[in-house]
Amino acid sequence: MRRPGALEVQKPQDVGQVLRRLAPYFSPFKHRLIAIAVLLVLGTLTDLAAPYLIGVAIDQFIALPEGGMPFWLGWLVGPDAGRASGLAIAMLTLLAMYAISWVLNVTQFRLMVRVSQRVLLTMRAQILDQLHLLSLDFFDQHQAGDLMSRLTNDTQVINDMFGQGLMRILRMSLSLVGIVIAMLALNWRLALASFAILPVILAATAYFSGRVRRAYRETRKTIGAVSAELQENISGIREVQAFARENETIGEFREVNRRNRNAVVNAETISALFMPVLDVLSTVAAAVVIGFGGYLVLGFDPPLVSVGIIVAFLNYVRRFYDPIREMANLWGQMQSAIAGSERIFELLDTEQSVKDRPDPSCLPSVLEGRVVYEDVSFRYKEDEPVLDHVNAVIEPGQMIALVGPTGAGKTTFVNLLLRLYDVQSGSIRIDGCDVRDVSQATLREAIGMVPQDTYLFSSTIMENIRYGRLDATDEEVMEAARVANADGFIRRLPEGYQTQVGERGSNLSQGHRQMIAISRAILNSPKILVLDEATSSVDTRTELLIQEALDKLMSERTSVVIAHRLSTIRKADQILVIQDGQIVERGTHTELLTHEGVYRELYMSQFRRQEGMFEPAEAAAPGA
Amino acid sequence: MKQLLRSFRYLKPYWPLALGSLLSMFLSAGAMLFLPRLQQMAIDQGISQGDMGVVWRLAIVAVGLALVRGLFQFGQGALAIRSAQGVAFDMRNDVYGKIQSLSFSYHDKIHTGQLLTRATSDVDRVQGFIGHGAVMLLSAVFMIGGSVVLLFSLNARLARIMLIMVPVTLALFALFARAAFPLFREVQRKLDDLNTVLQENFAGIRVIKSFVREAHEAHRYEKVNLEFYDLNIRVNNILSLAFPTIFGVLNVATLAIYWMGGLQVIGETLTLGELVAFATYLGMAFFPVLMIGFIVTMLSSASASAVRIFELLDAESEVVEQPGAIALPPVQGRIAFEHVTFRYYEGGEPVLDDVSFEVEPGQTLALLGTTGSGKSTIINLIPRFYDVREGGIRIDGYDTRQVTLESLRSQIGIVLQETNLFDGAIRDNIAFGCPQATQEEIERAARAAEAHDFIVGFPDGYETHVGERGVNLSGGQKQRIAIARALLLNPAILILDDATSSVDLATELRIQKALDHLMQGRTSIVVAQRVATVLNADQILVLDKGRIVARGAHEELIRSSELYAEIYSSQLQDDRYLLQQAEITREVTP
Repeated sequence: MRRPGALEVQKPQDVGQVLRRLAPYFSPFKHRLIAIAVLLVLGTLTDLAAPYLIGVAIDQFIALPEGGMPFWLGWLVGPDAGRASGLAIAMLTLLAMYAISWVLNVTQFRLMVRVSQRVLLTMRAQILDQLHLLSLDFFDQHQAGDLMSRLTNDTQVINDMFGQGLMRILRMSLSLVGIVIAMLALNWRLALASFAILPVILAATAYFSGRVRRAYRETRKTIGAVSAELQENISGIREVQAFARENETIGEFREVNRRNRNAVVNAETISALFMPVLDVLSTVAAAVVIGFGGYLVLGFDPPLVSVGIIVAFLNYVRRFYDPIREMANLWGQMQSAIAGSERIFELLDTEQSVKDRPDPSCLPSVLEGRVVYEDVSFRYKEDEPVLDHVNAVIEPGQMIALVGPTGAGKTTFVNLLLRLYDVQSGSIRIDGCDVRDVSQATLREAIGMVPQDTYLFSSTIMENIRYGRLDATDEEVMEAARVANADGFIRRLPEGYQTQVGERGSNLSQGHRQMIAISRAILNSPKILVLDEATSSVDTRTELLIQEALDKLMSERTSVVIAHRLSTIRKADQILVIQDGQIVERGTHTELLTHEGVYRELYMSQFRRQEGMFEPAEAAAPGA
Repeated sequence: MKQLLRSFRYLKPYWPLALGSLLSMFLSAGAMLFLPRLQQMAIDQGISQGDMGVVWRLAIVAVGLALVRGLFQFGQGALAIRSAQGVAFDMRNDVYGKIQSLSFSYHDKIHTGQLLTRATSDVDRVQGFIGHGAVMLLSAVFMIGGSVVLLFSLNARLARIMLIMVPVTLALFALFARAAFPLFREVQRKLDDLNTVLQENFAGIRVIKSFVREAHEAHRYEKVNLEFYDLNIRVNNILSLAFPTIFGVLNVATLAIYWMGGLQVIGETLTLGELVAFATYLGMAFFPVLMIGFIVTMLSSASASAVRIFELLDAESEVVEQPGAIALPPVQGRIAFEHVTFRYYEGGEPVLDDVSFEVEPGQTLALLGTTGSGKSTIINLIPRFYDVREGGIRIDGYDTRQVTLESLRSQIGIVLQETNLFDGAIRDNIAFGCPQATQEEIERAARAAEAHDFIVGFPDGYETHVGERGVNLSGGQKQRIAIARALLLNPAILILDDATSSVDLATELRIQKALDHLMQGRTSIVVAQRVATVLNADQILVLDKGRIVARGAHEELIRSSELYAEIYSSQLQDDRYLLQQAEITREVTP
């Protein structure tokens, strides 16, 4: 059923395009972003200046000074300051720089968080709006659980990325550039020597991060399999125990569990190798600084480098590898954030197939409820017509019943009336208005529907019924429940109307869930009522009572009922027998029984069964 | 905390790995502590003394030492992950086995999601702590201790800075942690709320659209969305202070070292190399302090996870095999309920109240009653999905509580009301209860269940994939597969929670035929929705609020039980009507 390729992007396809799509989210914060950039640059500069200042302080005041001070230092401490007082002033300057850097960092971080959280807020709201706009075919094509976990995952990844990752990447690249410049400025010979090992480090990083990423992708796959196995066998626990299959499922689980363990061990082993390799390489770089630095001090007269500068270099070299390491980490994160954005944009860009006209016309405020299907055709998939040139007229106040085998198109018939899908040819009109000219909201407000699958929200029973009319009082809710014959069982629950119904309302029986859904529709009290097997799981005695209540309700309304219990069908003003997407017979129950046809065949087949039961002797000789 | 310590027992099979990892950690940390010493010597004895040979030698030693250290570091990581994942593997298997063994009453109370969390992320957290956290903690303590000792031996006066820095850092960390952690949990909870709304909007989209509640839902979502935003801002405000401040402590301490140490160098009580080494040790001591902070937080979440895991592992299944349980020999199928009273919750209303009946081998028993009268409970008690506390159930004279679960359940075929199929081929779903069945046997079962025809209608036939990622089967098709699944077991006892109500007439007829087939020659207990089953039954029990209010065959009951007559007339009026119609048509058709 799933559309291939849809929302399944694993690797980013077009980074540029994603960035272009992201830009509008950030553009309202242009000024703030500029401020952030300035703060970022300043913050990085102060951070980088600190080791430099320490190096200078060592050379000028701690070690025996050789040669003159740099002009700015002379200006700062006075040309003939003593070593101790010079050191004091240099250190106080350093303290001031740390303070400035603290302020810059805190401010920048706070500003950025505000911007990124705003963006995410907007994005999440857009996702929900889009879900509401999309028509049902989208939900048919996508597994809810699947899409859901992607969406939450993707927004989370983007959240991490924007929250911290992006800033860190910028910061890291800035400091990398800053360090290179500082090193070159301090002593280009020593700088070049320390860079010598850089290509090796970059190559190692590229090699490892690629392998680590692939290995971790494998672990995600295997842990996914573990969850799937768990999920399935926990929800199927009744079957597993009933068929005494515990040992087999435990065996299967051990297998996926083992595969996951091996994948994790493999991935972690690779990444355990990565850090020591980087550490060894950075120690080599430090050794180069000391060795080559010592050579520059001792091998030349005057020395080509000072001890203070060597210390500063040791400091820089250490800092040099942090950004590289971190960027290798962040790179993977960024890739998944981009892929995540791509999936979200794909969702946001999905065209809804049912659209409101820009100038929707209104249904008359007092509906009569005359529904006309004219030459209606519809298909979900090419070449598989579900409804094929269907015509039908439902007079105001009439009740029609749809009969036919599963998959014949009964549910589609009513879905089209509500515009959960749009007809592909022909038209459906209510009181002369083409439903496609009416906005979906107006249309659906006029029609009440009890769908086949009952959905209850995780809230109280009271709130679930109130969903039918949000401003209904508690008394009205209970009245609706009474009409639907649900009041009795609800009151017997420990917490009555305040009982929480859980995920998919699993603590209630299917029949009780249907009764709540019916109460909901009764509360809504629409002009046109659609019941899609609304009482299929209710026991027959209760159904009879509900039916009586609904009869009252339906006598003033146009109603479309999908059912297969005779008691319901028989009362219909008109029965439409649908088979293979066409209405093959229509008429009242008595009319349909009097001529050979599908309806009568359906009856006769059941009749034969009954006959066999009631009068076994006669059944042996039919027609006697 | 106690539960977390208990988790360490899982480390037992892996102790050589864990020990190896610990040793490697000590060796690599020792090597690391030695490195700044080399730098100091290079500056003091090499560069300052003008001895280039010393500089080169020391540089080479440093690289060698780094290699050794790298080796141990890798060894530590590689060994730790093996022991940690071993723990996770065993723990997960235990959790899974436990889940499978717990009776329905446990599963009634707990959500799938909760169990899933325990088996996945909770296990991961505990595993992370045992595998890495504990080693890291030891390593951090060792590093701090080592650098403190070295710092004091280098220069006791400067080392006092450490005595201020370490407590201040820890105090700051504790302060921020106390402010931020409750908020972290809050953020997680809000995120769950947010996802719940989203989830409901997926699953309930039909209801939302039919009642035009998009705006209502958007509003609900916006509220949570804004709360989530506010929380994130609050958390980040704390974080924005935390990290710059904690690193600020390191910076200030370093500054103090250079200042005070610088003065000592000027006063010639300290060498320049020692000063540089000192600053490096300070940095080395600082990160373990941070690490301890992180591990403490890891510890609190790991111990919460451990509590959840052991809560599950310690859960007593209400249905357990007796110590001396015997295997139930192949049964004939006589079932007897003896004064069974049952309630789902301690102290709750009894769902079954003093229920007694007996079914002879090969007989069919029909249960009749309104929703909630106790029909399903009777069905659930026979294969011991729940255990009876008052009264008893006997099969062929054996008390069901005295026999092994497997021997009991493998002789009972069940078709549940809500059919659950597993992800996989149709073939495997039918063979679920007996995986060694041949294709021939499977097809025979499918034919008897009226499922063969539609199965071969699929392009992949019996290999057609069903479940989450497979074809969508209709309710009737699923049910027939479930019937085939039960048929394949060829059980002596058959239990049917009949729910053919959600299928069309023609399908229903086919299912009915399949069921009739299924019931032949077996003891069958059927929750009846259909007249056919009731009328065919050897015995009918009419239940009302957990009590048997009438029993007997149809002819008797229709006369003696008012409730039966009432249910009968409502349930069977279609059929009665059919009969009338049949009379009419018989008169019409020659």
